[in-house]
Amino acid sequence: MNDLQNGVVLLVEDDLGDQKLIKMALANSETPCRIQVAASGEEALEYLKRNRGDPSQSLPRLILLDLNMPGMGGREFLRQIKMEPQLCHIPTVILTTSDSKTDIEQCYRLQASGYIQKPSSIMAFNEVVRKLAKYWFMTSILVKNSLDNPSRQTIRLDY
Amino acid sequence: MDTLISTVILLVEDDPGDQKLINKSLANERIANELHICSCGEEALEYLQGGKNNNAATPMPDLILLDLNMPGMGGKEFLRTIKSDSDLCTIPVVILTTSDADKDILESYKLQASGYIKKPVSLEQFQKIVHDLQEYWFVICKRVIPGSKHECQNDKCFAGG
Repeated sequence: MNDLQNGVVLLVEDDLGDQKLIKMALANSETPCRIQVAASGEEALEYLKRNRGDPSQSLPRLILLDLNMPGMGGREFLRQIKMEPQLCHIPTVILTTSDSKTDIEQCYRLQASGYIQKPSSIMAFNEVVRKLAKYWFMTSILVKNSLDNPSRQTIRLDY
Repeated sequence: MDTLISTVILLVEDDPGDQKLINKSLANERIANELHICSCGEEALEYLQGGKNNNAATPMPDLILLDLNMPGMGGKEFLRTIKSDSDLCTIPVVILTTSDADKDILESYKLQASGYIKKPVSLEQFQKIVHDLQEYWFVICKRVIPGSKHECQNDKCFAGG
């Protein structure tokens, strides 16, 4: 059972090509979900802050975050949401081209819940997104942030 | 992407039956790993202190699997403590517990757990979970490499929500 019908994944990514790739990979995975795209840290933060105080809006259950974006980069965005009591519980996974040891360490220090280097081939990219989605939507239980489904928003393991 | 990686996993779990199941599940995995087991939060903190001191018998883990309900210092308190420690806060912690209560799930994520898994009952189910955990944390995710510690002077450790 996939309960992400009522759940949102927030994708923070400025590259249009990567936006498309990730959306398609998620749509074709075992766990399709609704995706909200923000093209910058500022846009993403604005979206989250707008929704967090509004009882009629859901918060995303998972955030996929690029690091290198113009304006507010991924690190700064991560730092800010982790300081917000109403947002800090949302797992945030870094999805970036960088494999710098410093970037990796910094992001985990800022409490990223995973750090993935974007593969260069489309097939590998799809595979990575599929596995990422499997871990968060099937293996793990996520906080139900959706308000329109009153029943339990957690996934029953089908093992 | 199937490289043999040597990884250290710390299991913080008081139930001997579950300890055995997880041990067995990991032994069947293709990825070489070292499993260390502590039966309570206090013991795990001592273990990690040893890791900080480069004690070969208690190497720093690449991943911590954490039960919530343990005698003495419970899982949440242990999690809060390590997330306030700048030498330990970069280690991913995944909750592995019998509880699927919303309160426990939310609190764990607020304390910066990086996953929350309800304990299954059979070996087969444990094996599947262990496989999925390794796929995510050791195959597709990058890990912090020891020695790459960067002076993030402006980055305070998350001190708990």
